[in-house]
Amino acid sequence: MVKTSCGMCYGTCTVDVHLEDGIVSGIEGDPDSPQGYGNICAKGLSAPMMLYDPSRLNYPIVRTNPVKGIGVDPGWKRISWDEAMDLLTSKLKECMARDPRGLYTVGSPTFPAERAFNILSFRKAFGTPNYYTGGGGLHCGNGAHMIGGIYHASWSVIPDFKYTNLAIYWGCSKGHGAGHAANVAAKQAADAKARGMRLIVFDPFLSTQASTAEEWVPIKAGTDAAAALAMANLLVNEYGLYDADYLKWKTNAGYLIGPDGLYVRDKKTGVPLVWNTGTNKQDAFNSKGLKDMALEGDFEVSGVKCSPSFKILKEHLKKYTPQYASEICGVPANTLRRVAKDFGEEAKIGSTINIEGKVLPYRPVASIYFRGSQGHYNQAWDCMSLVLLNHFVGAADVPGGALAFGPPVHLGYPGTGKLKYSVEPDKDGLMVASNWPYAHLPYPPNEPKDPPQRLDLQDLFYIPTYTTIMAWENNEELWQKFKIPYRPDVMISFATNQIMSVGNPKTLFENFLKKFRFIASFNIYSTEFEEAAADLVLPDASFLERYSSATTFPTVGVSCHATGLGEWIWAIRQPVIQPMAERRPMVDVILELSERLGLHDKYLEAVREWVDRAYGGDIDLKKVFKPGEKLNFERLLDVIMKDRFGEDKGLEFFKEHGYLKWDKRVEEVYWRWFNDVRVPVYLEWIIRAGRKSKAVAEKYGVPDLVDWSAHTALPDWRPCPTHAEKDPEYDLEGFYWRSALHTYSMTMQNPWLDEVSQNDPYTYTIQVNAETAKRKGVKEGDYVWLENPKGSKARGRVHLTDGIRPDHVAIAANAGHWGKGLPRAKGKGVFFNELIEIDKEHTCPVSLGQDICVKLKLYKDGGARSG
Amino acid sequence: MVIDLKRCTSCHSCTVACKAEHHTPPGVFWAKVVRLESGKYPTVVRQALPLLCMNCKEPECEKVCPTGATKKRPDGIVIVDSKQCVGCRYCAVACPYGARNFSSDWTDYFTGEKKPSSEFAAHSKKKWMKESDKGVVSKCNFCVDRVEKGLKPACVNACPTEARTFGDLDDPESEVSQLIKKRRGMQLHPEYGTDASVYYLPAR
Amino acid sequence: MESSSTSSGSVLQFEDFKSGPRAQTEWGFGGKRKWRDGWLLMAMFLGGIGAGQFVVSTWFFHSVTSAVVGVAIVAVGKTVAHLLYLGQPSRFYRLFLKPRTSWISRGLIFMIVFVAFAAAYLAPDIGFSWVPWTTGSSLGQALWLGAILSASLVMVYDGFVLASCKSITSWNTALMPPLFFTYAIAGGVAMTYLTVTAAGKKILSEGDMTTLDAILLTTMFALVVIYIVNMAASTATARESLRRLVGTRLAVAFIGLAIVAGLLVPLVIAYYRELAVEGTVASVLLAASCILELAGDLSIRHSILSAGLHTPVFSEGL
Ligand SMILES: Nc1nc2c(c(=O)[nH]1)N[C@H]1C(S)=C(S)[C@@H](COP(=O)(O)OP(=O)(O)OC[C@H]3O[C@@H](n4cnc5c(=O)[nH]c(N)nc54)[C@H](O)[C@@H]3O)O[C@H]1N2
Ligand SMILES: Nc1nc2c(c(=O)[nH]1)N[C@H]1C(S)=C(S)[C@@H](COP(=O)(O)OP(=O)(O)OC[C@H]3O[C@@H](n4cnc5c(=O)[nH]c(N)nc54)[C@H](O)[C@@H]3O)O[C@H]1N2
Ligand code: SF4
Ligand code: SF4
Ligand code: SF4
Ligand code: SF4
Ligand code: SF4
Ligand SMILES: [Mo]
Repeated sequence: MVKTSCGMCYGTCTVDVHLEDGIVSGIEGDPDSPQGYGNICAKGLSAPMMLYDPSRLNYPIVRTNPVKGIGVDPGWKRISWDEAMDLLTSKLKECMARDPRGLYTVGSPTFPAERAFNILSFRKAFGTPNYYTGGGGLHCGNGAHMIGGIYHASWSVIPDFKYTNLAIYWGCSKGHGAGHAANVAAKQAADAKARGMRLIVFDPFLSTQASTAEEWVPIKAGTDAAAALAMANLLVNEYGLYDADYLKWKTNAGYLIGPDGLYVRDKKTGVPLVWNTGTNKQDAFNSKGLKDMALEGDFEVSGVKCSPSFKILKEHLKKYTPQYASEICGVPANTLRRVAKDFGEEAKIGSTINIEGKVLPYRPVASIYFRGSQGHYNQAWDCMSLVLLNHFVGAADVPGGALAFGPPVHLGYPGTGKLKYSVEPDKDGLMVASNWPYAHLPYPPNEPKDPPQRLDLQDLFYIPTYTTIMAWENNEELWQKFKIPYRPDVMISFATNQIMSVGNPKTLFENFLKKFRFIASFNIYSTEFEEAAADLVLPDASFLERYSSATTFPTVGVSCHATGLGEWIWAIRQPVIQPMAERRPMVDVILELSERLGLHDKYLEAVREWVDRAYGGDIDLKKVFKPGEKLNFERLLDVIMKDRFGEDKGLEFFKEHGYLKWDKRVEEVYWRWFNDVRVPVYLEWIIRAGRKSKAVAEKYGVPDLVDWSAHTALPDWRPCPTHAEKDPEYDLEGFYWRSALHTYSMTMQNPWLDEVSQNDPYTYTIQVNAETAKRKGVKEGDYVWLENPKGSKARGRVHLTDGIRPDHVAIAANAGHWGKGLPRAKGKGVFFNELIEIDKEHTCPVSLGQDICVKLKLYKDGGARSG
Repeated sequence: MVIDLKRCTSCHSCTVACKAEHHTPPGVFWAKVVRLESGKYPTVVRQALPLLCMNCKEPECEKVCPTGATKKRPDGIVIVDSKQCVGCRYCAVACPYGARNFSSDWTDYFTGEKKPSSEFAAHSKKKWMKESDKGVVSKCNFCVDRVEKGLKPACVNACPTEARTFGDLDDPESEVSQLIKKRRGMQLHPEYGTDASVYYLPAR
Repeated sequence: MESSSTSSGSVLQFEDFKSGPRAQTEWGFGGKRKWRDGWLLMAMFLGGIGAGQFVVSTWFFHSVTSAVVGVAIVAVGKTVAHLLYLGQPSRFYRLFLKPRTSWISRGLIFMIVFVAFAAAYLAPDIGFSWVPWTTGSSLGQALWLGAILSASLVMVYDGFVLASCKSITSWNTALMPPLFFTYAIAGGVAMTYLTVTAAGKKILSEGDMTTLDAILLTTMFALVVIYIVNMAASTATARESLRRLVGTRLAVAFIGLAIVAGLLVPLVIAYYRELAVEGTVASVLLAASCILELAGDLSIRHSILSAGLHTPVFSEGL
């Protein structure tokens, strides 16, 4: 039996893998591990079927057909690893000589640890700023991570399942085998429900979470902000249900705002001012003598008229009447009222709880969002509006509230005190994260580069991790205007099927992928991406055949740690069997590449930087490695683990035990109460940051790169392009959701999961409201086309249900494969992403994330009808 | 066994856990999950219902089986002796719960394909043939091999929400008996007098 | 009826995974394994008409040839059909082991007993003149009685097999045994007529035969009507069975073949035979009617099997 971490999704549950005669004969959860509590999902259980799939890649292959394109036969030819490495090295050397920035690395969201150590570190060592995280970068979380980062120093939010009494889900799967920490949250949520936690789900679709909830509120896609802002309006302007203390001491609600929309600062120190109600004078927000401050009222400071930001926000919210919101979001005004009231009252503002001798605020409500509500044009403000509900009632990182998903505070492994990171205030009192997996922090804002260096112009902006710009139709024009001297050259892609996952595959290919001279991909299958675009495919060892450093840390950005009190766990992934055939761990290949390219030292430096930020605490790898010592992943792991956990806890320890766990402390879980950090209910700094970015864009003659007017301090609902669709033929709003049976597009090839999916009425179908279908003369099992106004189409079988809004259609996962390398997946389910546009109109102007909603017409396919 | 419908999320882990444990061939599902929908938009309810053999105390399958291949063990588990079954499928037709599966032949999920699947296929076949055979009927046996070793049935072990509890129904103090008592556990189709050994705790 | 193909593209759910009434897919044409599952239907059909033929030809028409054919249909036809259906045919002997509870064991024992009695009874007439009895002797008559009794059981047991399935409401009715019994007798009549005619002989009393046929057909029609009314008035599952019988492709078999072709047309022929032209034309009509009846017999069994729906596991209201 071997203990390792499951890699069928990024939940990374700890599993015990059993072998019989050298064959993986069974996988089960490790009962003592907090990472899964001994339970395991259908995907994890199906891992052997991926390991032994005869369609897996076993040898490096190169393209012989010089023509690339979707649906083109690449004419794969088997080559040796030596040839493959020579080829890749020479292409990279050429690229380095031309301009190292021409290298684009693309990594998987599923394997963050592998990605970090290799794709990210290699990228740094090589000297290119260009990368994105497969489809994930654009779909997952630009808006959600931005808001999660600013408000919780974390990737996302999740209810404190142990104490929450009322959770509102806005388009997210938290607690049923999909979504973040899938398996862990499933058990936590079940316990919470058994305890009596109520769940209200706003979702256009009676999703799994909605079907297990107390109440399903069918909301129109892309309108969550309107509903949430109406609820916020009710809370502060009508019901008076808000936590004034929290707002005063944990947010910038009291900061005085001048007519220019910016903080009124102390002339000398530059510190933002508040109105001290004791002295009836302005005061620094952090002044010692400050006992109370105004949240409302109009004041004058040195002749400048100003008001607390809360007052401005409160006024601003007034236009979001329940009636107005109802017209936008399709939820009855009374429902919004009832839910808002329920939420505000259930928050028990003012109450406290004693946990392990520490008295903490008790706010057992949580407003939780993710993919669904964030996948829209207005995603930054959608998420802000949703998270604001928690902050109004003070239900953030306190018992019962919305918790940072993967707490940003860890006080150190008890044995060594290492692995330590926390949050800190900046000079404006706002929270700065120290554990953050990406190049720049969520706050303070990134200074725009002048001119931008990245092909997606990310570094022109202050917040996004990636943008969609690299695939816009006018990208060449933009690169010229911004005087970017290099062009896409070599791409190294790891564990992502970009053709299927990013958006419209034709757009991505034509505008972006086609422009590369050479694309190498690490995958375990030849997917649609490799077939369309890759020149060289390297057969990776899959998760049961390789090492990974730490599958559960950093807690931020590795989307798996259990929320709330319990245990921390540092787990590794290790080979259960040796890589079959000529499969080779990508990890090792990258290290060899680094050596071949002479990047040894730079690579170690990049790893050090990563380990420092993500695993909390410095380690000088160059001192540890003897000069001339070849890079070796196992050795690297050993060094890092011994440094963090002590000499007796090196790789050998982890190979035997699989993981190390220790208790969480109250200060770590409910960290907000113990750290003097504030969050902005008024996003003042966005105004400033937005102006800077705009100035750079103007300088290079692209003043309307994005809609800069969205870079404001106050949340608003802004319509998606779909909301403005005039043609009545396109009467259905389309979106996707995650099935517990699948991880994006990678699991339809798995025969067990595929077979179960075929037998599930929802997984491979297009879910259409029964009445709508009747109106359109469509019956259960009919094949239909979905077509967007630009003529992009998707075909699939219909499943009729009453569990969806009549004006919406839903599609599960990312299916409908056509690649030759995935024979079993081929033709199963529905391919949604062809319907998504990648352009300015479908890009959030603030977070630069992808808008994935789309207006569709539905009509019967003339062809086969079965059933 | 007790299945808590309030906890169940229709994730199908039980379906696959059973497959992985017993290497049931394509088309054979000893455990499965059906989804029920009732009501009209927007007041609509969807419920997952995980199914397996109810291991009835008065099993219809056993009554109709002409060969005696279907037997009830003293511990209550109903088993099919694959060496005695002729594959007449009367049991499959008579079982009110659709718990029985017939497979005419051993097939492998990667049929006709190459290494390394062939090694796994051989392993699967070996496992399956140990428990069943071709041309016979098979069904959930409450993981009798695991239970005898003191382990939980595979589906119970896997279930992410811990909706499934396994134990001794005859012992009034056991966890299952207590759950049934406290949460008003119900059997499916009590009217047939099968006295099912799987109880469901209501979702609402 | 919904198919359950797993081939790529046209994927559909297996019945097992569906909520709501769930079709039994093990017995009858078009089951899980398509045609192979039809052998059980053939076995039932052959058992019924074979035993019926024996009864009819020995009781009413005294045709040894036809009686022999009847026994052979049971002894060979039914047995072979059963063997073809079984997953493990080499273990067929095990089928007899549990007559205490299983209607299959019982039925097959009836079948053996019937074949034994019938063969013994017929032995003196088919070349085994050394046996110490003749068909007419009292021992022979006793054998005949035994054969008739066991034949009746063979004809009726299918009905019990189906009726004992509690969750299939369209089967779980006291109508099943009489229905199957009458159909078996009628099939016997038809088979007798056809056998005798095929053997180049003439049925002694075509008039009697038509009368018998008319009575049987009327009874069958009445039973089918009661069956339908019964289903319509019963549970939702039974109503769904009925819907499938009359409102889906199955209606071709049920209404078209079983009721119209297999019942109504022969009834018309039976009642108006006298009006038909004399001689061969009438005989051809009669033969056609017999063939239609047999087709109807097979179709009604097929229809009943295919419309066998299990009550949803989650009964309504839970
Ligand atoms: N329609 C639709 N589109 C979506 C989504 C959706 O739910 N529906 N989700 C969006 C989101 S949030 C995300 S994060 C993205 C995800 O998008 P991607 O990250 O592109 O995910 P996949 O398409 O599954 O591609 C993962 C690839 O990794 C390969 N793989 C699996 N294991 C290994 C391994 O061990 N090593 C290597 N080298 N490769 C491996 C698989 O073969 C597969 O090709 O998709 C986005 N796009
Ligand atoms: N099983 C499984 N688990 C996964 C993944 C996977 O592929 N499979 N992927 C992982 C990844 S990369 C990610 S990013 C997370 C994502 O996890 P989640 O963010 O939880 O994403 P989904 O499960 O797709 O849930 C989105 C829900 O939003 C609803 N929805 C769609 N549009 C709207 C809208 O406009 N408003 C509202 N209110 N609801 C809407 C959909 O119906 C769906 O129920 O899951 C992770 N976990
Ligand atoms: S939730 Fe993800 S990591 Fe956990 S068992 Fe399932 S597939 Fe594996
Ligand atoms: S594994 Fe558990 S939660 Fe999942 S479907 Fe089965 S019983 Fe329900
Ligand atoms: S559920 Fe069906 S197969 Fe299982 S014991 Fe009961 S009657 Fe037999
Ligand atoms: S199929 Fe096997 S177990 Fe079922 S009734 Fe026939 S002999 Fe018995
Ligand atoms: S108890 Fe065992 S055999 Fe029965 S369904 Fe569960 S895993 Fe399958
Ligand atoms: Mo994602």
